[in-house]
Amino acid sequence: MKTLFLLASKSAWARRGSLFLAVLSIAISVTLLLGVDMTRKQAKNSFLNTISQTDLIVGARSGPINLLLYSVFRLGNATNNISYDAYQRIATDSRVKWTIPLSLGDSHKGFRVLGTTQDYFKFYRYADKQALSFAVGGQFDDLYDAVIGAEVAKKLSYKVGQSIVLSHGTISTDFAEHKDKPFRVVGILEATGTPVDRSVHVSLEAIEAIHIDWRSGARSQLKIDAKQARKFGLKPNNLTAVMVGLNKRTQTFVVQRNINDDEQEALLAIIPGTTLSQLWRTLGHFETVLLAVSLLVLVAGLLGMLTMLLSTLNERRREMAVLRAVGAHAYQILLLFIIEAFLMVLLGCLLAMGMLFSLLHIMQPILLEMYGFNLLLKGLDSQQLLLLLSVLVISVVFSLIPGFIAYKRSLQDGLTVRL
Amino acid sequence: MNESLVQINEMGFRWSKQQQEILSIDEFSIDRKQHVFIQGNSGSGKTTLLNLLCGINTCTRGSLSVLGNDLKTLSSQKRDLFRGNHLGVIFQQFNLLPFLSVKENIQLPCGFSEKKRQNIDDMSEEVSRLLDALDLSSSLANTAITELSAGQQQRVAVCRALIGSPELIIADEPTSALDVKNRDRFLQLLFQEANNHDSTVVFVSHDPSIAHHFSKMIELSDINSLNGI
Repeated sequence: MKTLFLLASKSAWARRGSLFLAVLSIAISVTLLLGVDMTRKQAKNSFLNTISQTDLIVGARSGPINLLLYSVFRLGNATNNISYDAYQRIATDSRVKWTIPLSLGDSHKGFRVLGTTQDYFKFYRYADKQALSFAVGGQFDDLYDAVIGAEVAKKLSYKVGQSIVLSHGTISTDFAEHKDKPFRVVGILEATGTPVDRSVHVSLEAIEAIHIDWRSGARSQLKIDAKQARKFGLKPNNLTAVMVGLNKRTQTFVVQRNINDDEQEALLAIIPGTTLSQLWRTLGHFETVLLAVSLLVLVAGLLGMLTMLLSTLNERRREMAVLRAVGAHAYQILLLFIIEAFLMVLLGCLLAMGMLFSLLHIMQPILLEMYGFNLLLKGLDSQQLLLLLSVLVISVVFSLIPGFIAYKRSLQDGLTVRL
Repeated sequence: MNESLVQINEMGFRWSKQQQEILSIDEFSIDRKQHVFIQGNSGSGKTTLLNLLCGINTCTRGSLSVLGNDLKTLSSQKRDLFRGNHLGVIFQQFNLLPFLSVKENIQLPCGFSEKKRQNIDDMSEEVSRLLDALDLSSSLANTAITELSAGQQQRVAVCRALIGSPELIIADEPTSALDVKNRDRFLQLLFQEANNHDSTVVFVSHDPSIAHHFSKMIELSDINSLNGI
């Protein structure tokens, strides 16, 4: 067996030029497959981990996915608001442990502004039950304090103490800015890889204050400056949505039904986890197609190797006859092909790992910078190892074809090769 | 056990898909340490006889024994092992694996035969000794095969056939690619080393002009009763 390994590798080394190309094509296809699989899994993970520990999200009645999109992903706009009374009914329910009110609608240089309470920093969880933490500074205490997400701070190079002006609506226009009531950045959150990174957080009262002299989406004639605004009872009348944590998880469905059946207001309560996976399923076809394509590329790579092994059969006929003459059995000839294919694919897989991890290493900061997607550099999971193993097995199966042809030929040829 | 190294009795061979035998030898034997020249024209069954002697194919009738073993009774794997252990084979040309060095080519049979390995005390020394004996400089040991001349290559092939002192050396027209001077030198060195190893030589060729170098000469058409097929 040791002799066969030595012979196979020396013979392969002598043909290294063409073999290397086959190895490279295998390596590239394995890299592609693993890369796609890894990104797909992490994207799904990061997507499903956007929000955690929140049992229900309540908003005005619309579609569940729509509610999820505007409340969690800050995408699109709410079709309607819920009343503050409704919020208080929910918040005071004995089954409810905590609530986070959300008020959306304003923006700052393209980043959404979220009006909320300090409970946001206390109860909001993402990924694996992780709480928000501050990179610099702390939560908002004063009316005109703002806490910004990591990406906001990075993109706009804001530091604590920076004065910012919020814009009315989600598109920044000069005439719709709340210039009269500037905010001060008091805290910058650690990066989370979720939409929190792209949000500017202020208190609910602040949202009221900046809109105090606005009526129906336009500035009214009555001007009330920042100082004067403090004197008003800044109690909000409306909220966009509410995140709810329950005392007992098991009550989720009952509370959800109660809210959905509320007689005073048309409300919608969704379970974020369920709606998230629903949303992913609608987006998920894309990942399946991508995975299928990379699998086909891998098959093409392996077929390339097979073609190459088959094409060398004739020129290796004498090699086989010599080996038979010195006492090699025909099954050992078959083994030579298996070993060669195995070594090639093994080398291809190792090369692929090297390529994959250097690629991920290069891509990681770029992805984080451009898409806020934090690609983790972790080892292969068991599924991916199984994939590599099956690639090796397939290569061995493929090598049986040229191997068996060589086997049959060496039995027929014997010691004399007629070319 | 009888004294002869190869013993053929009532032997016949035909391909499994064909009705007609292509070789039929009633009685033929080769003694130990003999140098036998078998002369036959193309189509006379030379190749068939060699394949039978080497155990690549087995006779379909009668018996062919080498060293007292009727090859037909051995499994194909056992026959391959038997060939690896007891035989050394030299072809007409292209004897050597181009991706191995001279030394590695000579050692090749030992990779497939435990017995040949055991017959050698010191591998490097044995390779140098064989190279020396075949009039090749031992400095050639690590040279690539492609850098050798045809004559040198055939002599390396002899070294490979001789390593591990097999009982039977089978040579299939090994001199056909050599000129007269090289050919005679080749035969002289082959015989000399075969004698040193107590090996029997069976040399097959269509060329009768070298027959006088051998102690025994046989015309294949004389022993094959199916001559002319």
